[in-house]
Amino acid sequence: MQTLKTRSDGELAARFTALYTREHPRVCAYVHRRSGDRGAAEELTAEVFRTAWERMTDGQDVGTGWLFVTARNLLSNHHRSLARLSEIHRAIAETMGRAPASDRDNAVLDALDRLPAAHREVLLLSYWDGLSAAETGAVLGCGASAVWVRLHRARKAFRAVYDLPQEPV
Amino acid sequence: MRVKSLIANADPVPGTTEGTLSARAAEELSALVGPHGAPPPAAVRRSPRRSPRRGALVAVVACGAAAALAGVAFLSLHGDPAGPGGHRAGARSGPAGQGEAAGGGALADEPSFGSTAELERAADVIVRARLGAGHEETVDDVRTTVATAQVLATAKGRTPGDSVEVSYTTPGTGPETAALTAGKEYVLLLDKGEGGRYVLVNTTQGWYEVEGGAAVPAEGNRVALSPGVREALRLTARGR
Repeated sequence: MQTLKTRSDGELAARFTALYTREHPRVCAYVHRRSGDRGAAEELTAEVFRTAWERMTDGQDVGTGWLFVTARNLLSNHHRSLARLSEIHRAIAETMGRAPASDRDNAVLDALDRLPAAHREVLLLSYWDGLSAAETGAVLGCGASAVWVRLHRARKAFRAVYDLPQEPV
Repeated sequence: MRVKSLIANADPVPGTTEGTLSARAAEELSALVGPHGAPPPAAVRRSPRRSPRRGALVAVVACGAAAALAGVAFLSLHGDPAGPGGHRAGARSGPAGQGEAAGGGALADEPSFGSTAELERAADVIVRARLGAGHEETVDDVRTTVATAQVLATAKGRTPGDSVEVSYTTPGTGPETAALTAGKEYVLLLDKGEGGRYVLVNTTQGWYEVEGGAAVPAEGNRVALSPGVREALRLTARGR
């Protein structure tokens, strides 16, 4: 018969496993996109989830936002995170054996690189990493409504840099 | 071309699949959760999207009670309205959505929901409310209207009182605004925002005008509200 401790341990493991299974690929891809190094991405992601497991066994909550914030903080120490997106894209394509970026994609990456970091990050979190407004807000340190405002402003800035016509008012 | 499509197409790591763990990730999971958690994967398969290199992605095949429990927990959490993924700003797994409909025109880059279940799951709160006049604020050069909506009925979630403060880009100031009018009655599908305010889940599907006791979707929104939500809000089905 299960004791209370073993049953709660089992429930904790199940919750962590569900979180891990759902979020590990997303967090790893988030780090991979910004470092260009799959191996480094796996290492950083492992560290994120080791810390997450410690927090959960300590009785603390771990949400998706926390995972990405932790990944971002660890990534800030990774020198590759300072590389231009076009360089990161090329490194990933070479490693994965894929075709290099098309001219249009290179133009997009160049435009993203020329944006202020705040604009670039909200665009990437939304359109590459697929984070919800709440998750993006957790990473950026703002609420969901502010995320929409920032996303709106970032899109305007991207259009200007990429030379797309602005939408009519 | 839409900004979202341009940027999404340049993603260097496309096709990230939830629930698909690499062999390394599966081993690390087992090492962390120990005997109470998932057993090591009994069988693996290579992901067809990746080139056959060392360390290629493989999928964990659910086996054993613990893995099945994880799968149930995953499905449970994925369906949890409060959990992540309720609406992803850049999700490409869903349909192109109403945001790209011709009628939406410049409504290009918001997330959109292809089904009633997805839409209602995305909202923290679903209410029937009468919209007040509100005031304008300018945040980061974006004109925003903040209005108090008097709650008449609630279908999902809890509001702090009998009214909610709703923040939305001022109509007429640019793309992705909701054509809300003070004094009218709406069904509002809301996300919790900053400072106790609420925001629409998106500008096309986050509101339905109440006309003749029925919820009328905005132009470009082909998703209807569920019978359960309509009943909770004392609304009738709308003939199309």
